[in-house]
Amino acid sequence: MGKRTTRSHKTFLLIASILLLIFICIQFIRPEIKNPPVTADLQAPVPVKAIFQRACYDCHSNETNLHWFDKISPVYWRVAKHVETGREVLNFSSFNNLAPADQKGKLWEAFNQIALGAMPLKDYQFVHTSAKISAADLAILKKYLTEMAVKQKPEDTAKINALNKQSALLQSSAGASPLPTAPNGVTYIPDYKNWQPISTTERFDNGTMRVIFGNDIAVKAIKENHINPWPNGTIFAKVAWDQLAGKDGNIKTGAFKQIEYMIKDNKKYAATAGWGWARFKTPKMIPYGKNAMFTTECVNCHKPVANQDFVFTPPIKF
Amino acid sequence: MKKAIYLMASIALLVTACTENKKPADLLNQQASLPAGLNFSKMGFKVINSSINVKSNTMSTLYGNNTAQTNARSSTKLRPAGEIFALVTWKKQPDKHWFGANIPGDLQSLEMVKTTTSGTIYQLYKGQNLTLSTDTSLQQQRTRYILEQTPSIMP
Repeated sequence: MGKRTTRSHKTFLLIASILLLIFICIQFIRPEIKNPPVTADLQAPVPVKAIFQRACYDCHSNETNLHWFDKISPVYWRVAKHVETGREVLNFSSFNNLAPADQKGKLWEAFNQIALGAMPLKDYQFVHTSAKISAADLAILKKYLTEMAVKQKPEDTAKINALNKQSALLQSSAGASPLPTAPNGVTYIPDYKNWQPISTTERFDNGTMRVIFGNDIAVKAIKENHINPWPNGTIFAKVAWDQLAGKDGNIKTGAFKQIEYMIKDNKKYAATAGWGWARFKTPKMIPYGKNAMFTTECVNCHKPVANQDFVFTPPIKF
Repeated sequence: MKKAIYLMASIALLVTACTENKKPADLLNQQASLPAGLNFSKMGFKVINSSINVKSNTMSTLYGNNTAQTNARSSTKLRPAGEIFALVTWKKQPDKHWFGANIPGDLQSLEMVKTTTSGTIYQLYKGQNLTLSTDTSLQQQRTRYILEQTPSIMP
């Protein structure tokens, strides 16, 4: 009995020292986290900026401030990866270099990622308790965004001209050229206009309005309540127009801005959350994205609704 | 040991409960949906345009049958018989998943305009169940409004 205990004790000590040795060794594997200079920092009122600095800047700026516990491998590896991808998606240190409309878009997206509980990341918040965003913080951000929402000017001549120009162009063009294809291989589908709309949206954040069309498979899935997950073959087409306010203030669709597709195929598009994503801008249908990596942007933004198969808008049964 | 297993099992349960997918019924926009018996999606309508009424806080989608859609798109403003327009109107509601967006809320009305050889027919259906309304006071004004609509640009 006594001998057996000493033997198992010895084995335990041996395993523990091997683990300790491994732990010490991995401390030398250190991906470098540099803090490059801040070139064009976010410009926002102090209380607004303070929230972003406190909750987001560790991963979304060049002012990463690590605690001692962040620096211990293997935690450190995870932190390094977070900082790397965080800066890629949104970097407040070069934020002011973005076009004004893109800056606004990023801020609305950031707010919605926070409001839906996707950001700051749960594990990060767990150890960095100061990064938590309170209801009061959310209210400050909401007020700031509401004030920057696009206000519609009645009978905006520039917008009317843009619409008329598009109408004239479409009347004259034959449209026989080959269909444009996005960098991930998704081709523009002109048949969307014959599909059923499954919802409309008014976007006061960016002054657009949208109709979301669903193909036959999507409409059937809605009828039969098979929408989580959506069946393979489902396609959504979301068309966005400028809002155009009339004399009475009522709003019609103005110039066509873009069309976006989501094509469900859990095998073919397994790497991008089971959906094939694409965006084509202007009536010329210019594919969005420099390379196939543009889909990271799509998936990141849709991630907060992963538990409803990455689809934001609740569909209407027709 | 037993305790540890219980603890781990309950943590595992908790984790799966948090990531469980939402039920499809909760994901539908029920209040904006059209009555099931109507079979609107089988009527062969296509979208003509979409609009927002700021004063009444509503949003609408205008549909047309093939004839109506083709005519709305052409520059000649002829009104041949056989056109059917359908205007569906909802109260707006904030999108729970995206601050910055409004989506259709309670279904408010369906207005139908049909052109015939002997003039136009206007019908108004109101409320969640789309019951036919006998109120004809705005008939002419609404018919004109619907027939004057221009289509949204859909390349």
